Amino acid sequence: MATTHDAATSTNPLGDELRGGRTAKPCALVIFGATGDLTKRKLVPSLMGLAKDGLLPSGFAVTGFARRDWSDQKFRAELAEGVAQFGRSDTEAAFAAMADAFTFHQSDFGDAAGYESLKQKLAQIDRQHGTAGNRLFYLATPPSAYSTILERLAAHGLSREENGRFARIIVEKPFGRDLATAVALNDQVRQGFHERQVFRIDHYLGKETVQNILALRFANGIFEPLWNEKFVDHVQITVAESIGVGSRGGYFEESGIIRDMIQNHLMQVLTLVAMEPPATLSADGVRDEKVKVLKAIRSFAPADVDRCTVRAQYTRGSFGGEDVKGYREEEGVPANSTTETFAAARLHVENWRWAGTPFYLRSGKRLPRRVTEVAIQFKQPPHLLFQGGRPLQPNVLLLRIQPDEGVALRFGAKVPGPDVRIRDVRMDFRYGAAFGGETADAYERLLLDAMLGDGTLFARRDEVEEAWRIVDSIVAGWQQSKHRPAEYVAGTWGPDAADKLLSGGRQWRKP
Amino acid sequence: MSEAPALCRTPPRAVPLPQIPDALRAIWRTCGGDERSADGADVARSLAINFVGTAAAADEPMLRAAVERLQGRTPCRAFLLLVDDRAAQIGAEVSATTRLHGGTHDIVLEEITVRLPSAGFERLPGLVRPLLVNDLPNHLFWATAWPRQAHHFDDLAALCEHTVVDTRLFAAPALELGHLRARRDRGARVTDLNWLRLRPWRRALAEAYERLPAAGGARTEVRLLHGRAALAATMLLGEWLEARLGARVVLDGGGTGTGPCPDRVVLRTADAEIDLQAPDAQIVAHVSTAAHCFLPFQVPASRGTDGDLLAAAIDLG
Repeated sequence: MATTHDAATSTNPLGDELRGGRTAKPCALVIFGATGDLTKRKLVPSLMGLAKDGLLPSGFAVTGFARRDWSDQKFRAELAEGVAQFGRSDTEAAFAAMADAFTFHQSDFGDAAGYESLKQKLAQIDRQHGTAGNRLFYLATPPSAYSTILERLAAHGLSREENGRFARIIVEKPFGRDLATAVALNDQVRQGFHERQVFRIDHYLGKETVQNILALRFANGIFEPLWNEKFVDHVQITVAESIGVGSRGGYFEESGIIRDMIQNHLMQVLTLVAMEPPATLSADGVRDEKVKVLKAIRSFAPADVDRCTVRAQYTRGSFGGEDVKGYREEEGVPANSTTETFAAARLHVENWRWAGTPFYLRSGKRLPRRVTEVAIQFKQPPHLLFQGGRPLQPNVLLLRIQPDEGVALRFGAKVPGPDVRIRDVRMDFRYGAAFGGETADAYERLLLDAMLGDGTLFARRDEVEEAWRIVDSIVAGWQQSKHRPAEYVAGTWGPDAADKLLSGGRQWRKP
Repeated sequence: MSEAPALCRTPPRAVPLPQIPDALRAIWRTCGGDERSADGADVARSLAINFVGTAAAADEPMLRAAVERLQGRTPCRAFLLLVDDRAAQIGAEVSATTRLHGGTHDIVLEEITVRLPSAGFERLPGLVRPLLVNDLPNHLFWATAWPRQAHHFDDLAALCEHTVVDTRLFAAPALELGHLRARRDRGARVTDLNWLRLRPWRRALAEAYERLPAAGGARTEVRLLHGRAALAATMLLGEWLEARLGARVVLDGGGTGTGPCPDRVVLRTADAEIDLQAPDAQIVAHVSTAAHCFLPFQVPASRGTDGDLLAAAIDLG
């Protein structure tokens, strides 16, 4: 991935010190919606993780932009509490050392005067903190505010890049709620910002284990020759949550699991698993290959949706020894809701590498465990010598994204003794065991990359829109379907109907 | 965020040298039986490197602190070779540290401590070689002065693909940095903790240089003020600036600092000046040109403990 500081360093004979260490140029970060949970729980603790590791630029400041009538002191006190509660060890001192670089700017998102005063404030911050006129805007607001903020930033010249200064914007998911709204949002973004200025954040891509998919595939000689339809029987990608929707019923009702998880996290993981080797690890080198994967997945015809996908809702059950509500009993959820809390789909990447190899995706709430994994299941050997020719358990290469991050390989081994019996064994690599130490939050990596202008781990416009194209075709099929969502008891691995998606003796893993 | 994992160290057990392999196997059982520990958790060994560290006995706490930091990031079989002329003969102790990870005790450190008189140094390569875990990268940490007999260094370095030194500990850096250079020229992979320690200084200089207008072949002069303990680091920084900028470098040993890095760096070229000082935990950089006097900026003067630097050096190696 790119480690560039900036083109300007090419004339600096000491410049490789800045490039090699991934040192960003000085900048001011403006967080819209700074009084929300994301800022307190994730963004500022992650910034302090970067500060602790010496990765923040020398000139750096943060301005919180929000409607509430907070003072700088109140803002700092909230952030200090967040760093203490959610930050890595020893980051409280880092915050204390630079607390005066955090200021609050009270304004309504639509108030033109608020942006004019923000502009003046940022000029003052440049003078006080050496932030050199570089700007990074973070939209940590509900999506309904995006349009107003984008329009105001452009109108007040805050999105303009002049005299080598950068202006970048980080957009949190969801990037629209279907293809049409995603296109509209992207068009709006484009009115003020070029694509290279835009960083659409999907925190899954900041996880070490997700990045390790590329390392595993392309830094090792042994996997890639097997990574195709000749050797791989099928691929299962699972993102399971054990929690229900809780108090987010109203929000979830608008999205469902397919928009909340599959359109972004699962599709991103799928592209990394299925993509061709990029020519380089540049942002566009990687993203070009990811987009090709999505383009190779055909939209579903309405008639195919019932056959190739499953949607379901959890019903009342017992979880962890306690009775839990069904989805339609949750707060903010109508009793006749058809919003899915579980979805599974069989996708085909129709290209030379993957022709005929199904990719099974599933995600759900109130499943037995919180787990994200990719299972590459290999084909049986062509001739079965052992156990009377009965098929053995297939080899599985398991990429565990969370928790217990790591990689495992399942294969058959001879059981010691005079008979020839084969038993499954597992070779296990665990990140925590092999590398130990404290793991940085995904946001640390992504915030640093945005400061560096490295978009590799961010979704590009065409990726987002291609993913919506596929998801929209599924949603359209569901809307036309005569069937209601299936049901599954809370705490189980989903509805029976999900098993029917898998044919030829294949089974869902129970991770 | 991840919580600090629970570590558990077995008591060190003195063992005769020929019985070290048996003692290491016994450790596996001490940590919880061949397959399962007494409390029902699995035991796994996930060593990533062999680590060979040598230091004077007086520096044992420093070496142990470094290994403690290292085990958190890079599980290893560690040989701690402590030269102690009060020791009558070579003696060894074996212990292990496990980390509870999920339901599993991971052995993250198998530690073999060897105390020996300097006369016993010749026997070390033969002692260590058969105990290295097969097929793992081997790293030597030479955490002591440059030896009077250079083959002591070379014999241990020959066991390992990568050597880490700390030139801060060298008594005569003017001469001994040359010894290291010669080995690098012959293809040895050597990482110097002192060079990593200078990283904030190099970064601050690079950032400051960004603010200078193109000097177009103007002469660059650098004065490096340092205390006694910082001679090696100051020489390294001076060599770097000479090589990169063609600068004329003057080392001034009149500094009062007691740390391993310079007290002050003043760089002049054309009408511009960079002035770096580290009065406390921050390097403060002042940059001025004929046209501008820039706001001072700061970078943290330290990137962590010696253990942190060692862990970074192992990653580099």
